[in-house]
Amino acid sequence: MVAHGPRRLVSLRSLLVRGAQAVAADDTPDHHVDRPYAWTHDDGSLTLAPEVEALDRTRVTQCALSRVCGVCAEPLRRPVAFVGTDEERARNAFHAPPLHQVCADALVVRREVAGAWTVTTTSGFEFVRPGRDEPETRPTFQPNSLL
Amino acid sequence: MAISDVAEYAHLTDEEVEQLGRELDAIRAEVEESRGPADAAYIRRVIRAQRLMMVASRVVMAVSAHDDRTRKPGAIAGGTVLGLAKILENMEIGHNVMHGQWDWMNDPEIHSSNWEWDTAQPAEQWKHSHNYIHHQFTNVLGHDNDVGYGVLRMAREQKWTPVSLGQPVYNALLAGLFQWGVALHDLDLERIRKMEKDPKELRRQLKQIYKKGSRQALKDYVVYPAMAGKHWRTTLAANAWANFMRNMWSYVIIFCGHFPDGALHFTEEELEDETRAEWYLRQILGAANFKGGPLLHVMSGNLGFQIEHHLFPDLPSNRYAEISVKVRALCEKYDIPYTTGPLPVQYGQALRTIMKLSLPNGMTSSNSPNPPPPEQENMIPLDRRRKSESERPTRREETGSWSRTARGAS
Repeated sequence: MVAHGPRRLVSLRSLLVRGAQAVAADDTPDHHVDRPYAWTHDDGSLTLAPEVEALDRTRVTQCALSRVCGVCAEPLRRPVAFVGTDEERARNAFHAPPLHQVCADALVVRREVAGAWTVTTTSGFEFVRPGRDEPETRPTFQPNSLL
Repeated sequence: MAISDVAEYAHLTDEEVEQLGRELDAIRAEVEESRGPADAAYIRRVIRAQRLMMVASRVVMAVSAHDDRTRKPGAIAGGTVLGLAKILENMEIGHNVMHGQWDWMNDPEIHSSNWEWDTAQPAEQWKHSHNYIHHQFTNVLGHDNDVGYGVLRMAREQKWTPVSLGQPVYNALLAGLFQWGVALHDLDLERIRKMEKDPKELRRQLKQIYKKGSRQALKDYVVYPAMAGKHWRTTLAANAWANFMRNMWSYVIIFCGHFPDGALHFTEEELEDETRAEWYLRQILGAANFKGGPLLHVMSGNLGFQIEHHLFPDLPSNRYAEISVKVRALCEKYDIPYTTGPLPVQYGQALRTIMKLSLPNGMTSSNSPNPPPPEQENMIPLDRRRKSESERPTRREETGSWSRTARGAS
């Protein structure tokens, strides 16, 4: 009994988390993918493309620090997902903000970017602002606990 | 003072600012690489201790309530321990977990997306008003709502109106009811006053605050008192005392972070092109520490190291003490002010500012230190703009696949 107690607790906790994620997944409507928050500018314009320039810089920072999803702008959940090109993935430095896993999955199957992005999941990440002399002109996200 | 004036203030050349940035990057990298089981054990220990205190306080109140001789001392002791537990939960656990300081542990419970703290403000709104607005626009007037919480005039650059005369009263009310002041923080009272707030968003936020706030009130002022039966008044009073303690303490700590003499305000509107090194510099100049022992720092959420917290808001709070030694040495090396002092002195200065700024500027003097004189006469203003694509080094082609290994993930 004693040996099984903690395992049961962990199992119950993970079940609760999975349940919450399943409910949340239902709450993430596909229409957010048509106008993902971090790719939409204040004037309403939108370019859903893998290029870094397509992202709205202010919204990227907001998503990073407020810990909201770059697609639906709702609070993030664990795991946190990042979409990026193979190069971003290999460098462990993503430009697009953190997303829900379901939002990331929906985003990468969009016709415009299919094949260009893959999804990486993590528990945590570092938000790195660009330095003056660095090649990066945009903030990057570095996952620190890959799942 | 605008961020562009910082160059003259700090006497640093362009290269020195960047070198300072690189040295701070190295401190960050060192902590990121060395954080591990000892840090995880620390936060788990703090959470265990906090829960133990919470349970102990409830047990003391329940057991002592049924005897006339023990009821009052039991309520005072229980209420005080409960207050300390709430302080610990809000300051060292909730605030820091919601910054993502412990997300790397991969613990579903101790994660920024799952933690809901024991106070009236919904976590979602806190992460916007604090993590984003306050930490991104630190001390930038008109942007950072922490400068006076929308009710106090905290900088001489802010317009004085006769309403400011009531500051001592507003300040006392804000301190005593701090939990509720924080709950309304993300509403952005300034924008509501100017009729700029989206009514739909305002309704959504108010609904969220009502839901969280009423749950908190129900817990502290209905459910637990009801469990005490005919002695419900004693339990209710003890819970109110605990909340008052937490309110006063968190108010003092937060006001010591940015309002003692020496912490600067900024008026820059456009911060988009700020480099990482400039951002670091603004965080150092806009924040203030206070001195104390390890217990004081834990009970303050390690916000006695406010400068270090602002430089590295998502590094584990238990590492700020060691980081502060290095940051202070850097400030001395680069001749940058490092504002710190004993807690009563720091709070005294913040309180003096509140009192002084209730009056028009002409009736009071400024306590901000004057910038040191330039070392060279006719010094040419430094060009701190971000370099263009053509001026930057080209991106390195090789990739770091090592970062995706188990070591990188650990």
